[in-house]
Formats: sequence, structure tokens, C-alpha cells
Amino acid sequence: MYNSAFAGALGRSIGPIAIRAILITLAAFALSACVTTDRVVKEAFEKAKPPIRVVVMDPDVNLGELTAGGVTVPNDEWSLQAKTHIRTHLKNKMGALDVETVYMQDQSINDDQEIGYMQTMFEVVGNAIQNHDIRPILQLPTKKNNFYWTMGPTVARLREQYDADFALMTWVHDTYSSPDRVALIVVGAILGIGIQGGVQQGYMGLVDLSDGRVVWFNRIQRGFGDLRTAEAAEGSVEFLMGNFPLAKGKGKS
Amino acid sequence: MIVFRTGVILCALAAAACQSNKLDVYRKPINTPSAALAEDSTKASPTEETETTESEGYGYRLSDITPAQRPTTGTVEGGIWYQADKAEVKIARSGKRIKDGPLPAYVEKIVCTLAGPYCDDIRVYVVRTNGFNASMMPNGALIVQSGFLIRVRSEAQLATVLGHEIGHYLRRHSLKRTKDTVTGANTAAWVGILLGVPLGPQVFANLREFSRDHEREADGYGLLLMSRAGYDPRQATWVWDRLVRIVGPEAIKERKRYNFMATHPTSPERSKALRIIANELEERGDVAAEPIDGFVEYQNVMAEYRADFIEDEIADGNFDELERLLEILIGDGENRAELLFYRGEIFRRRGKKKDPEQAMFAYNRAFRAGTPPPEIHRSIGLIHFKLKEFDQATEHFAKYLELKPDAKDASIVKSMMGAGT
Repeated sequence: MYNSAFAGALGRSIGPIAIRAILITLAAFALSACVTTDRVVKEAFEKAKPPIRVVVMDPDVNLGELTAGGVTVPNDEWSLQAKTHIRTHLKNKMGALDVETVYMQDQSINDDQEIGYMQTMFEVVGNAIQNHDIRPILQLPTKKNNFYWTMGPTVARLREQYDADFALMTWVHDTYSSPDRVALIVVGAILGIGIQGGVQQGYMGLVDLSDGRVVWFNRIQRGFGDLRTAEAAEGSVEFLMGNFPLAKGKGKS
Repeated sequence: MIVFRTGVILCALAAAACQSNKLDVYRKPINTPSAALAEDSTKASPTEETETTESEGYGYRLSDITPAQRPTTGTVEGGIWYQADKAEVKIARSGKRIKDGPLPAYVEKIVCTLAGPYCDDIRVYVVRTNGFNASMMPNGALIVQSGFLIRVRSEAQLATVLGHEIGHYLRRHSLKRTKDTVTGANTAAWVGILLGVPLGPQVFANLREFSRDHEREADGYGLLLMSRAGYDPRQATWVWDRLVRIVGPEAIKERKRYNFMATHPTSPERSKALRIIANELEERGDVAAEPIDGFVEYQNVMAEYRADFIEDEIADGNFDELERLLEILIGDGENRAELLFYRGEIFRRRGKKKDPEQAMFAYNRAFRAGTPPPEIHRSIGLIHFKLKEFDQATEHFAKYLELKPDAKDASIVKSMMGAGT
């Protein structure tokens, strides 16, 4: 993001392009080994008493174009389209459950700093779970068969503000091949060289607001589905919420 | 022999051509005739503006972006700003951001003066991060690092770098860089797949060369904006000379060796080019008769923060560079007692063989220079404590607690008093 930095006498090391290229390669590896990635802490839902209130954070959606050379160019128009679709489907899904929901809008710079902080931290923790718990290649030894991630007691602020038991967070990233990327893929296929197209990645997490622990987490990673269309966005939300723990709670009560 | 000489001459010519080319990049913002602007292909939308000064009649390349302009959604620039807006929110919330005291408003004021009609488009974030750097995000969020603030001498030197960053914004360098990167990567991909030639390193080197040109152009903006705002453009040269002294000759040598990979031109190159252009500006009568230096104003604002910023750098352990920096700051002549105390701190914390003596020497100088911070007694006490001179240690610890009764580490210091008895 720091595109025009003013470094001093010593230059910078590798730029964001190289990092992106590495990430894309890693994603390609991970894609080939797609397994169920649902994580749940059952106790948290057993102890929760109805009526359960969930604060739904505005989904964080980033869409971009994957160019022939592998550089992703972000696209705000696509991102906002997909965000609208995902928001709608989230509302539909949540509305069908036996829970009370309150929706939180994106926090801007001038809004309540502490609430905004939660949103940022949620994203950081979510990325850590995705990278270091779920991806086998980067999994931390301490996180093997031990799903314990927490945002800490600071979530109390969120609980008070929205009078909620859980917070739901959604993060989605997707890229679509540019025409010249598609051409490169075709040429590559003729020559017998496999070239990766765009990849959809995303996750959803539920945080227990009584102690800050992440009590449910699910991830999506697929090479199909155009989130700019309502149907694909619905499909992705469906997939992410496939094992949604509060949906099961409804059946029991 | 003749062949050899021809070779030398050719080499010299090539070098000279290259040199003048680079200077022209620096000069671009200052002296580009309006006609050339129309043909400029780097801009993303036809919003090029020029402004002609009343008397001289030479064109100023002002910018590629008009005040309050936002990119159209769905464009490459729209996407870049979307990401930048998100990143900015995170920086605004960062625990490293400095919100209190006079510093943020002071930097904002200078940015506003330099940016003129673009004042409202640029938002300043002062952050506690070591190292000489400031950066402009594509959307006008300007990040100013504490490590940069302690390395410059005055308001005029601060303005040099702020003007440079504003230049990046006005010329939309981040958009240009994104486009260059995409084009370069695409070429490499096609050549790679069709010809089997790995172009990666070449493309990378080219992109870095473009990047260095952006920096040169932004340097030119720095000069232009600062001289308009009443500062002496020669300060820009002095900033780079100062930085060369701070980082030391070895770092500069190392840096030159890897120049082809660097995002920025070398400091000596910048110093030299900017001196030439500053002189040109002066010949044109474009420099104020009594330029603003703002040394005292700057030092007054920094007084509240300097100790914290130096502590941060000490914690990083970059002792050699910090030693050279403090030498320069002490030479500036303000706050000598505090700076001499920190000079002593470098030696004490580095802890090499002769360092305790060097530290004590600096502490003594600090006392002679004025009133150093109370922590000096804790430090002297710790040196005595290490040497098992417990009486003197206790004496200084007591003095520290007397001067700073609510010290956070009071209980630890108390526990060390009266040791060895």
C-alpha cells in the first residue's frame, strides 16, 4: 500500500509484487488440497441461553483483476457490488435463524475508535487463524488439534455497545482473470504449462463476546463462482454458513 | 591506444548523457513548458493543470490531479484508492499514531501551506516508527515517521520532505507504478512462456529505475513547493548531506553497489542534483530574500517528543548510526543537556569494554550543559551498581527518586538501594 515511499539512503527490499506472487503460488498449492475446514468450540453454544443476540459486522470484500503477469489490480466497483450481494444474503440467512441480529456498519476514521479497533483486530485474528491453524503448511505446532484463538477481554466494549452474545465477521477476497490472463492460460495449456486463474478466498468467524474467544470459524477457497453476481455470492455465503453452529441450536430449542 | 581512448570518451559521453537525463527528471516539475504537458502520456485522465508565474513566464507543472478530485469507480485508480482508504483507517487507529501534543497540528500546518489548494486532500498521520522515512498513500494519506522527525534540523528541512511526498500525490505516482508493474509482469509472463526466457530480473530492474525517476521528480516538487512557501530550496541539499553523515560512509558505499535494485536514488546523487536546481531557482529570483528556517519553532515542538523518539531508536540497537545522529543534534546547539544524556545512554546500553567510562564522560558533559532529565541519576546509579560501588549507586538512585517521586520503576530502584551493606 505504501506505493510512494520516501526511503532514505538505504533502499527497500522486495516489494508487494513479489509478496503477492508468493501468496498466489501458496494459494495454488493449498487449492489442490481442499478439505473441510470448519472449526467449532461446542461448549460456547451449549452454555448460550436464548434469546441469542448476534452483532453482524459489515463484510470486508476485496475483488480484483488477476493480470497475465500475476499482479492483482484491485477493483472498487466489483468489490462494492459483491459486498452488497453478500450483505443481502447474510441478512437473509441470519433472518431465517432463531437469533436476534443487529447489523454494524463499516466504521470510518471518525467513528468510535474502540469499536473500530474490534473490526481491525477481528481481521487480524481471522487472518492468523486462516494462515496458522487451517493451512497445513503454515500450521503452528501449538495449534494442532487445539483451536484456541481469542480477541481477549477487550470485546466487552462490543458486547456493551450492541448488547450481543456473539459477533459474526466475514472476509472475502476474489480475483478474476483478465482477458490476457485467460489467453496466457490457454497458451500455457497448449504448451502443457498449468497457469492458475483467479481464486476466491474467504472466511467467517463467530466470536464469543463474553470472553473474546473465536468459537466458530469456516473458510472457503475455490476457483469458481463470480461474486459480482447475486447467485454466486449466495452460493459462497451458503458454503461458509453450511455448518453454522447457531442454526443447529435452533433445531434443539 | 586510440581504440582505448575512444572507449573512454564514449563511456564519458554515455555517463554525461545519463547524468543530464537524471537532472532533467529532477527538473521536470519546475521547468516543463506547457506544450510538452499536452503530450504527456503518463496521466490517467485529462486533468493536467499548468500554472504560469506572472513575471518569469515559465511553466510550472503543477499536477495531474485537481483539488478534491476522486478517481472514478471501476478504474485502476478507483481500486487503488479503495484499498488505500481501508489501509488508512488502520493507520488512523494504530497504537503507534501520535495524536497528542502540538506535533500533529504543526506538521499539518506546514503540509497545508505547501499543498495550497490541495490542503484538504492530504491527511497527516504522525507515527512512532524508527528510521528516516515518510510515505504518501495514493489517496492522500501522508505518513510521517518519528525517525525522520528526529533526523532533520528545522522546519525548512521538514518542509523539504513533506513537499516531496505531496509531489508523489500530485503526480499520481502510485497509479503510474501500478500500471508499470502490470505491464512489466505481463511482458515477463509472455516472454517467459513463449520464448522460455526468464525476464523477471530485467523487468524488476526496469521497475526500480522507473521508481527512482518518480523519486527524482518528487524531489523536484519538494524544491518547487518549499521555495514557493518561502523556504530556502538549498535546505533540500542539506537534508541529504545530513543523512549521508548520519548513515555513515560504509552504508553509502554498500548502497551504491546495489543501486540498480534500489527504489530511491542515492543520497549523494540527490544532494548534488538538488544543489544545481536550487541555484537555478535562485538565479531566477524564485527564492525569498529572507527565507524561513524555523529552527527554533521546530526544536520547541520537538522538545516534548524527542526523548521518546530517541528511546525508540536505542531500543532498536542501531547504536552506531544513533551516535552519529546525536553528535549532529548536539552540534545543532539546542537541548544539549538532554542529548548528551542520551549520548551516554548509547554507551551504557551498548555495554562494550570502554563504554561505562564513555557513558560517564557524556553524563558529566550533560550536567555542565544544563539540566539533564532525572533519569541520568538512575543511569549513573546503574553504572556504579554494576561496578559494585553500592554507596554511590544508592546516592544516585535516591536523587532519581527525589527528582521523580512518581517514577514507574520506583519499586525496582528502591530494591537496588542499600545493596552490599
